[in-house]
Amino acid sequence: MVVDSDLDLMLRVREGDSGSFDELLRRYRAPLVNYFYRMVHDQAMAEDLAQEAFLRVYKARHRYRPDARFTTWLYRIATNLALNAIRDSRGRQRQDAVTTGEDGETPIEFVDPKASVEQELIETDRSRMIREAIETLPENQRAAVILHKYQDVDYRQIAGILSISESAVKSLLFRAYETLRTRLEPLVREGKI
Amino acid sequence: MKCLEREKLFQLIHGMLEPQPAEEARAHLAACGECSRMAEEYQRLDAALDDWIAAEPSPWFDARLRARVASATARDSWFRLGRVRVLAAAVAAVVVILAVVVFHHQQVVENHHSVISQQQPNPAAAQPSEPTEALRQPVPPDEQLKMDENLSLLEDYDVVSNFDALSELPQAKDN
Repeated sequence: MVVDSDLDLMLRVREGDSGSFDELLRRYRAPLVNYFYRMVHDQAMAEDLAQEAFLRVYKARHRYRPDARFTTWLYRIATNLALNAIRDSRGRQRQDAVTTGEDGETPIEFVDPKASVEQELIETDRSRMIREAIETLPENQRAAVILHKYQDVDYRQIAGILSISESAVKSLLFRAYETLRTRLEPLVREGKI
Repeated sequence: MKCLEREKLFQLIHGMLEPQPAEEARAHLAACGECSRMAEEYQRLDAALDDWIAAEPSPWFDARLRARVASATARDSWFRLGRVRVLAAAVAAVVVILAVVVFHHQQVVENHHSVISQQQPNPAAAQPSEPTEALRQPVPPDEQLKMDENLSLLEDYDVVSNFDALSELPQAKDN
């Protein structure tokens, strides 16, 4: 059986074929939720952002031009959404800190508490260490590491996604891994190959 | 033997080197204990990163997305329909404005023509109505004869009407 390429599917979505959109959704639903989860570390927000990314793909279907790989386009949309969400939440935290300081009340958080508890339960110590180490990386380094390590995206594609040169991606990844090597030294020392 | 640069070693482990430099780096690695140890560290770091557990999409992810897509599609079509309506209304407005302008223009033109036609002289009634015209007309012979007969009277009238001595006479008192 011949498997349709992402590009073929997207071209058919452009022509109005909803079945092809469902197939793209089936292929990239989990990778995209994972990507967002690793970027923002919030299950509910990760789902919302993944939905928004798919919605943008659908809305932009008529403007889609097959001059780049579908995943480059998809992850570019996703990365922009994720970086904006990180900046927004950082801005909100700053605003909340100011608000809390003014009236002494804790701001209301719109996060599903059940989901957060579940996340905490399934997160092992090793997993938490890695998450915290990656979270401290600068935004671009974090996006590059997650795309490279967890989304299996080629560094040439990462250059297209982040709109930087390939050599800049190599340098970005090297600096990020050097930071992680230092921060995760205990894991690396006991490590498994 | 000079060790490989860290960045080059990192790129070798992650498959970012071109074939030729990669071959050279691999040859060096086989003979250099320090670089081999460093390469192993990068590989251990890479393996350690695998332990980061990610989240799975919720079971209602697709249903929610389909609802959002349907809503966006409906909004799009309403917007498109709205645009068509706005366009139709704009065209209708332009047509009405044009009709009003053309009608008004016709009225102005008609009024102008009627004013001009009223001002144009009627050839039938274009007889000497102005005194200058009348003066230019030759006087009929019988009229000329009457004027000649009354000439002395007219001359006396001229003299009397312009007689300065009359004005110098003392005015009669009212009382």
